[in-house]
Amino acid sequence: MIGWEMPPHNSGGLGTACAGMAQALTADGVNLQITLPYQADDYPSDLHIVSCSASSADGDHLYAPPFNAYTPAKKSSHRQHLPHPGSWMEDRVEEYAQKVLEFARKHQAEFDIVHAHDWMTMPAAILIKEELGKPYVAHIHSTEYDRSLSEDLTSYISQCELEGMRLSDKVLAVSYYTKRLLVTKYGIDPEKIDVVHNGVVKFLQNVATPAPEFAHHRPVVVFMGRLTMQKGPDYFLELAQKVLARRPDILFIVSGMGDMYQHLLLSTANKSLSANVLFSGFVRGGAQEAILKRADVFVMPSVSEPFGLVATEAAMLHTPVIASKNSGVVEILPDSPQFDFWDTDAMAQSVLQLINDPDYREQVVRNQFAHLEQNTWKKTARALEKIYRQVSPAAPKKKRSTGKKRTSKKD
Amino acid sequence: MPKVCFYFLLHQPYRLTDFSVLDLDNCDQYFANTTCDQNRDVFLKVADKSYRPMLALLLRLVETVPQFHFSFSCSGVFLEQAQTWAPDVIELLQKLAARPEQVEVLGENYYHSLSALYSPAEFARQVRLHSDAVEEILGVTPRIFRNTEMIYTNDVAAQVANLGFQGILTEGVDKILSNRQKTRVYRSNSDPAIPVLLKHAQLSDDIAFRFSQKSWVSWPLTADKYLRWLHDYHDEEIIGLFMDFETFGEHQWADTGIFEFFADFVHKAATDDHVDFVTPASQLCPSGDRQAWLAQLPVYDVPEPISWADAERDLSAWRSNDLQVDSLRQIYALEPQVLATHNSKIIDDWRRLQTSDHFYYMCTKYFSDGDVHAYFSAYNSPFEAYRRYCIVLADLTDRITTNH
Repeated sequence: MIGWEMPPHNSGGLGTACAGMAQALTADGVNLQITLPYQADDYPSDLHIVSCSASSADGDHLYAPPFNAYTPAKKSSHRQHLPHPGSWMEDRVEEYAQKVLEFARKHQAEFDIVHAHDWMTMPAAILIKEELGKPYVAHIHSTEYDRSLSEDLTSYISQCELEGMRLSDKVLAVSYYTKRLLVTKYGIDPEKIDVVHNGVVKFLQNVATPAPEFAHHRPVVVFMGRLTMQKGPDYFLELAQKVLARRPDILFIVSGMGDMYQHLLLSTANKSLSANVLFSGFVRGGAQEAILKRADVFVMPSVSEPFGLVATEAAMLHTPVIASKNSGVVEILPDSPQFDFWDTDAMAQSVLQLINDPDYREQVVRNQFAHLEQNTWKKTARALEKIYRQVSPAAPKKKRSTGKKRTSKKD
Repeated sequence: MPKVCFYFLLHQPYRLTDFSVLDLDNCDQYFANTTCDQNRDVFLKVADKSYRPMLALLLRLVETVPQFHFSFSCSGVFLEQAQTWAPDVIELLQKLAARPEQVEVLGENYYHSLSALYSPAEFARQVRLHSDAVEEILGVTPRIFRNTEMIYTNDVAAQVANLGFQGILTEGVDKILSNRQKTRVYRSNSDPAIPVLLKHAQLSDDIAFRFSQKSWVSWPLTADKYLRWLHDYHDEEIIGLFMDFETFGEHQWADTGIFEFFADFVHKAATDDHVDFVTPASQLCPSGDRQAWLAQLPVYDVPEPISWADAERDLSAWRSNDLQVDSLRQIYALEPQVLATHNSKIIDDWRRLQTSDHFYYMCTKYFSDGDVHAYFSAYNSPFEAYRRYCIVLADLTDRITTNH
């Protein structure tokens, strides 16, 4: 498995999802080695992680993770086909591909399939397939279209995505929403795409330090995510204004950081919401859990959201979720209120109903929980194993076998 | 002989600690926490670099140079912090205030707030609190007033006159003077009227800002050179040299020679036949018929707020972006509910949150004045200043509701 980030060095849901599926696959007996582009001493202990850090060669230049993979590509210096890397991040991706290829060469007898996640790992998967003939699955958690909301797919990042999917043996989408997008925006054959939903993250870190309770005196509505156009934080402010016009005591918390941070603070002040819309900054671990748990309503008004792992985390903590219809997570939370991201009137109505009607709220929470209980990482792992076997008949069902055959290159 | 009127401001705000959303309703310590007290650290640092050496120097000068006069004021939140962390600074201030013939203590509002612009009733309370504190700690009653950051309008002058003060200091702004001298006493355009003494920005800033600038054509500034500039002024002109006290030792470090310059200047000016030192009250409270004297003064008409800050000399350092406008609006909107709690801790926290520095830290006009703002900011960005302020504002709102 070619990874990019792992908790606690993650900048978003990708690391969380990779850790969840890797742990479930390993527990299920799959012999899984995971590469990461950095060195750390706090990898999850149940995983077999290999550092393919570019810093190991010169030794004096350690890059500190996480590497934010969520900045849209710059719109300059595009070439006809495979453009050259245009940023520090893209250079890192190229370096990483070389390091992973070196590792794959040395250990080529020990693996059958490559599992690659998002554009940052596609160059590595392509190189390995071209040189060693190993098949790979391209797992799409998030696309450049989601991040930039632009139809222009000529950037280096978009080309990594396109070529990565085109040359792959199988494309995995985290939702039907993403599958539709891959078909319509990237022109991928729908037959080549399987949908594998993420499992649900169980919060375990609170055993030692229980999440603190806070803001006891009034209802709390939470947004959590990168503060960027894709996630719709400006719609959250619009929603807050509409709700506060009717219930001025409600507290809105915006958790996260991103390119819209300053704009959102100015907009909050401009709407005269300074005492009701608070910004927590970027949170992780216990603080993240405390905020999701305290929320009376969690709102995810994303403009385009491939999955939306954080919504499942909120739901697991008994918080009712209002999600954008343009998200994958509504596929596994079908009974939660869902709206068009721009329909803040309807969302405001729903927030007030969830806060004012405890019976309705309880019903939403119960239904969410019932659906999530079926969505385990174990189930995700089983679906992945089935796909591995389709892609590479040589892949052993379980456990490591010694007499592996090299799979032939697929067309 | 031209008259030199020195005024020094001593002020330190209570900066906000890193109060998190998780602290909401769990903690009412907005200005320090158990592991860190930035306000104490800053106060002690500035006390060493500026308050102690400069107060000691001023004391030595008034004791040895009978012609030397000056004025100062301390915000109430400065006096509180000095009492807590550096009682010896209070002792030095007391020794100076004990020589009223040479040293005048001015009045201001206790919390260094913008209350004069938002709530005249609250402003009056803060001024009374300040006068009480100065009487109790320094043993004198201020007669002349200086508002936060020299912020002034006709309306502020009326409020100050109604509170019984005999005069007020503010900035001499060129566009309001329009070719008139800034070196004479004016009358406020208010009812009741009050005499106004103006700051001479250029000569003040030569010391406060330019003293150590090596790119300045007049660098290095010596006492002789500065005295020669004063000789350009006619008899009876009053030169208002108003500045932060921390000019001495903090904005201009000791190694720039600022202390030696000041001592040298005072000694040379005292023996110079052309220059006199005066205090504000001596110029604003003449003997004789006060009303007749006031009536013949030219008018300083200020309908829109002015201040001594930045190149604009207006309110833009504290109120030019939405972050500042809304947080100011929100904190003053709480007044009736806060006072109705009769809870002294809540009322005191609310007033500490009015201190103008909080809004100064939120200033985003990062052009020619930006470097000054960055130097004086307690946080790494104006957005961080606003973010913390909002969380504290929400917490205060809950405490008002529960009166806790």
